[in-house]
Amino acid sequence: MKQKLINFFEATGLTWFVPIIRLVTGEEPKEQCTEIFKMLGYPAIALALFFMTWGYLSTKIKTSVGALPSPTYVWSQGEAMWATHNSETVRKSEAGELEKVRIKFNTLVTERRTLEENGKATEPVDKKLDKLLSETKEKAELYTPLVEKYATIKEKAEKEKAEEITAIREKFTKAGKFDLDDSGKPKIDVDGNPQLAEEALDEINYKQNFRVAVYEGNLVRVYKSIQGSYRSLINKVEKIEKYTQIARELASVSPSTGHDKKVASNNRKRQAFEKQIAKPNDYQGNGSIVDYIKLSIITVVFGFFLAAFVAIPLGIVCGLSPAIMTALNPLIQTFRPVSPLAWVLITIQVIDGIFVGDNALQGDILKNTFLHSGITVALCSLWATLSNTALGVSSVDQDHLNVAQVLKLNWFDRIFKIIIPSAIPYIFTGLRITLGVGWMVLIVSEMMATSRGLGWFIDQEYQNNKVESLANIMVCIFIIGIIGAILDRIMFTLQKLVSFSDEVSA
Amino acid sequence: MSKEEYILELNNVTRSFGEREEEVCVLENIDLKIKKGEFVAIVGFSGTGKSTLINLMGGLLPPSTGEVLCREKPVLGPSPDRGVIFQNYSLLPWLSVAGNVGLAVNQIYKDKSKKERKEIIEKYVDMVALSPAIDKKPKELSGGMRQRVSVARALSMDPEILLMDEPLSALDALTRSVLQDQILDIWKKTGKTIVLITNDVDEGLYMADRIIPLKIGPNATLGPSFKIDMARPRDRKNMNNDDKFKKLRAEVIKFLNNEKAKEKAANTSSESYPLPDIEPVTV
Repeated sequence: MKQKLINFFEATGLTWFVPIIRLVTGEEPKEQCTEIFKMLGYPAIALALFFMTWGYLSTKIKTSVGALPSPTYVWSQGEAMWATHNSETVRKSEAGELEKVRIKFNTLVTERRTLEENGKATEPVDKKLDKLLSETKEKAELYTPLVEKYATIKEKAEKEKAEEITAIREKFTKAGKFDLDDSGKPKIDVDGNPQLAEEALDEINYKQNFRVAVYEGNLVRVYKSIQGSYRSLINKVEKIEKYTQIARELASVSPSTGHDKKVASNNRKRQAFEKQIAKPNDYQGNGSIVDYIKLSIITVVFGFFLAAFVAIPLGIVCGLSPAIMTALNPLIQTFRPVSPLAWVLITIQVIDGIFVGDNALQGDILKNTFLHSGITVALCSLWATLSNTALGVSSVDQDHLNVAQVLKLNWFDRIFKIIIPSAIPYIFTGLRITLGVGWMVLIVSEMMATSRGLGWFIDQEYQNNKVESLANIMVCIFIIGIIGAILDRIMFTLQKLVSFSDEVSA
Repeated sequence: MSKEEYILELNNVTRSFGEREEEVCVLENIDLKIKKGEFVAIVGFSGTGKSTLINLMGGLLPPSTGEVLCREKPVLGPSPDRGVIFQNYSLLPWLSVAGNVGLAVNQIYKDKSKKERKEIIEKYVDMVALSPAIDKKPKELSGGMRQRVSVARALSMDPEILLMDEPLSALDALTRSVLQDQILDIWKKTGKTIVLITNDVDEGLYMADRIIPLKIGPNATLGPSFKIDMARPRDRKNMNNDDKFKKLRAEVIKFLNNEKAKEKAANTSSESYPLPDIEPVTV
């Protein structure tokens, strides 16, 4: 067990876990502690220094939208993003519930229509509808306490924040830190109060920027809007019930002048509402950071496989035939250094030309914009795999070729049993670079292609032009970095598994 | 088969590399006749073209002039009749022991069923005593074990001639002697013809029927053939006290040393440059 764990961490390159395991199993504690200190302590020191420098700089550097976000502020924005993700999840499940209720109503109403048209009794359906209506009414009212509960939390948090800001204001007022005019008197601000000095305003702004009770605040909005939707649904059903009732009354009285007209008009109104509840409500989520991350990862994986699919066969062909290599080399050398910004524009035009108008891709993931960014990733990242594969194939050990010759392997076996297997370590080295480049290229191509991944989100935030957005961008930078590192670890592990020697550069 | 029929013949073979002015003749006027079932050792200094000689016999290289005959037919390329065992084992690192041997078995016994082929693989792996390691990859094996896999692979093709290119030179002395005995054992059991290239005179004398020194190149050619008519199995421990053995060894080593001395003399006479009259500059 212990050795297995150690082997696993060594294979994945997470070697800093090894001394911890050894320590836990009581193997030479002193040595392991030194080792842990080296492997965890040094990085911890570097991280601490990094955050200290960042924290210091954030008080000094002014950006065009305000002070540079501090580490704590960026962290709080990260939490806010997570809170938004959670409240969006709630919104999604509530919207799903609502849709189910609508479908139930619709089924019953349609059923009743059919029964009526066939001249059959409708009482059972009427009863069911009544029951469902009263249940739904109860359900809609259940949101009121929820809204109140979360609104109270939100208000309390906001109040605390306001108090803290007031405290800061008072602190500076007491200290007499005002913005003075030429005559030495404090300037007067728009509210008619003496204006505080800049450092005070900075501190107040800093405090002001922190968002509080984000999740609760979002929930208030979510529940209010869901409650509204329930009420509007109930309203429509009640209208249908009303017109159904009228229709029945009209049917029971003896026909008089204008009777037919009345029946027809009543029926039209009833049908209008029936149509309204028959219409499905597409859930239009706002998306959250988790959705962006998901799409980005799916896109990069798609681009990566596309690149591998093109580059590996082409690389093998180039490696096998010096003539083809010579022929393709100028093209490879020309296209390799081209920036993703240039590729993405061409990709957008080409894809939008192919999937145009009604043919435009409308899938959950498979959209035109997805192809724009995915193909750009592939175009920019395939070169590493291509040249590595070609190199691996062309530099097969002469000994291995001798073996093939002595065994008189045919062309097919020689390629598939000797040449390609021996090139596999090279191919995986190329693939690792490809994935790294692809992830880097992805962000910019998503920005340009407006594919709703991390790159798009960063761009949206940038357009917002607020300190808050700047902090959100910083959160994304960390997310991008961490995911990139994880992807590289995965490729590193694969590379290690397929290599014939134990040496793989970390 | 009459005594005069040779399984492998090299007639006036010359092999050179490079083109025109840069052409270097590595082997010249090689004449060698090997009988069926014979164990011939060719001994020489490194860099004298021993591997080229094996490659010529194996058909991996064509001769520049002259002819290589196998059972009186010209050798045009490699063939499963002539199994080659390379100095650096040449195992495929991504295949297990069974996979490496299987590569040869699958190639030779194409018409046999999977099960039969598996049995053949197991038989040859067992012959080199590697059954416990049959599923291991080459990097998990020691040098001696790797070379045994290489031997098993060559044997599994059931060749008539085994061409061994310094098979044991990368191994430590103990492993070496164990493998020497194993090879001799296999030779005795299978009756194959073996050509062993080595840089170790004692190894050649201990194992072979005949030992032929290779002169120093370029333009290397074979020296006289020394017949080793000592009874088998030979006793490794008492070899050094055997007069016949001592005499043979002295002869072969004397021949090789003379060659070395000749080469030195040739080099000093033709390639002695006057040293330039310069002194280091101090800054």
